[in-house]
Amino acid sequence: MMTDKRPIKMSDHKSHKELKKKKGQADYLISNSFRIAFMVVALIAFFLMINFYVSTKIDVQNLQAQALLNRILYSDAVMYSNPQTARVYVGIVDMAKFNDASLDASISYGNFTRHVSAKLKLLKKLPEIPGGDLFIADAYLNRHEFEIQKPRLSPSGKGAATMYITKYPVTYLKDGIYDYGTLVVEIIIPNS
Amino acid sequence: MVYVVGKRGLSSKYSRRRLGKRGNEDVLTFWIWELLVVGMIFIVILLAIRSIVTSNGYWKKYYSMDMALIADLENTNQGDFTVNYQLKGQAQSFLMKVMAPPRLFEIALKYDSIEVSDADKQENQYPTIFPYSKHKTINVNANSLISDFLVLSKTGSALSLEDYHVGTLSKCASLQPFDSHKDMTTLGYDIVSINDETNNMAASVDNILKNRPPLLDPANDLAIILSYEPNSYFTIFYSTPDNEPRSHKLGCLIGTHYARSFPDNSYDVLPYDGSLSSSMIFNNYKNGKSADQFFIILKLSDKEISMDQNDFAMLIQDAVREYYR
Repeated sequence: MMTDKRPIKMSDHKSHKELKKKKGQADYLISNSFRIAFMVVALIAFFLMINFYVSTKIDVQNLQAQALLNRILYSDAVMYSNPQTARVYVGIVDMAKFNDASLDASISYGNFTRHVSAKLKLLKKLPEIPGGDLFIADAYLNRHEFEIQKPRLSPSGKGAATMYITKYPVTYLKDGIYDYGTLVVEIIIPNS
Repeated sequence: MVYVVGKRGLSSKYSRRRLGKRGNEDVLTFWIWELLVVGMIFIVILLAIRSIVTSNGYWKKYYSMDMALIADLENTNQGDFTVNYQLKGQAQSFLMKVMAPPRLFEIALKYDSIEVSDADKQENQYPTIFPYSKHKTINVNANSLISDFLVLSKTGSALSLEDYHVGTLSKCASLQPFDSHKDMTTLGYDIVSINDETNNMAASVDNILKNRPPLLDPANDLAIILSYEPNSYFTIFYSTPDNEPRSHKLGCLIGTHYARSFPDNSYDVLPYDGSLSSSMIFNNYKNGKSADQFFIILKLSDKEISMDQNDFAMLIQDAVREYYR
């Protein structure tokens, strides 16, 4: 039986005869382990770089909030509409419709209750008190979901939610009397 | 036989002792294995890149979100609302054809959401869903279709998703005549006069279209054919079937401009009915062109023949410019 007494080098390729022996195979593996490891690292880096540069994220949260806000402001959900012509008077809140039931009936996301929720708050400006507002009424779109999502506003990340707050000067109609107020719309959209 | 490949090449790895018959075999075995591994890694990388390029996940998400948000807005609007929606085209280079075959999606309008899935359901059974909010008075005509041009409309109290049907469109589709503005050249067009009565009109249209700024068109294949028929009314025929949507759009635009310029005159936009098949000029022209060539036939009546040719040519130019804008 012949044995190779030469020291093992990284670049040394074993002969056919050597590779038949256990020691030769072990030597071969050890001498090539660096190459294999380097190739694995290079491949992982390659795929990570590809995935890093391929963007698949589409963030439409703000757009969703704006679409819902416009829906609230320009549709007949809470705004006054002429019962004969169905014309909507934008900017005039009809207090008869300013409730959860009217909002949920007008703006329904069907089975997707988690999609978006909102709270509408109507305040009256008190000129005699600087910065003072008098609470008139509030109404919720998807109230149950709003209450679930509200505690999730403070953390950030996929499990959290984002709130968009908009204030809009309106006229409100209550018992046939028009008055000025501010409509505060708080829209909560889950981050994922 | 001894291999010597430079001082630091094979000769340094394989001693002369090894490069005997058995040594040659070792070297060959080593290179074959090395080539096999390199080939396998190359194939793996290529497949990985292909899977990323052909992945429809992004586009399914994009279209479902986009269309659902449009549906949301249509539910806000009190009046009728029609959106022509063209799905994004793909580059048609050789590499893209090999790497990424054209995407086909099935788009479904549901009662409360838009669902987008791969047309080939076996490829991916999971649709991308994005909800929209339906107004209480709106009835949704739930529908599902595979097309790259969609019409999402709210008419009266009905919300519906339809395919592009040229015959049923009430206005010209916002169809893009080409996918990309790359490789554009000055528009090459043909003006063909079928009858003696249309010769002067054809010359006028040609002169007006030659005016600057030049029109750009990557396809270079527009043909405007003018014919005359007494005791009729102005009719615009669009070519079918290969170029039907594009041709119909141009015909529709010409009709719109005609109605704007001559509101009292009647006109019609119709698919080509083969009425010029007996015309030698038309047949000679068509014989020199490919079967799917994009053409428009303007069948003029006595009114158009007798009107100011420049006015008529100008409206054709306006329509063509709007088309290629």
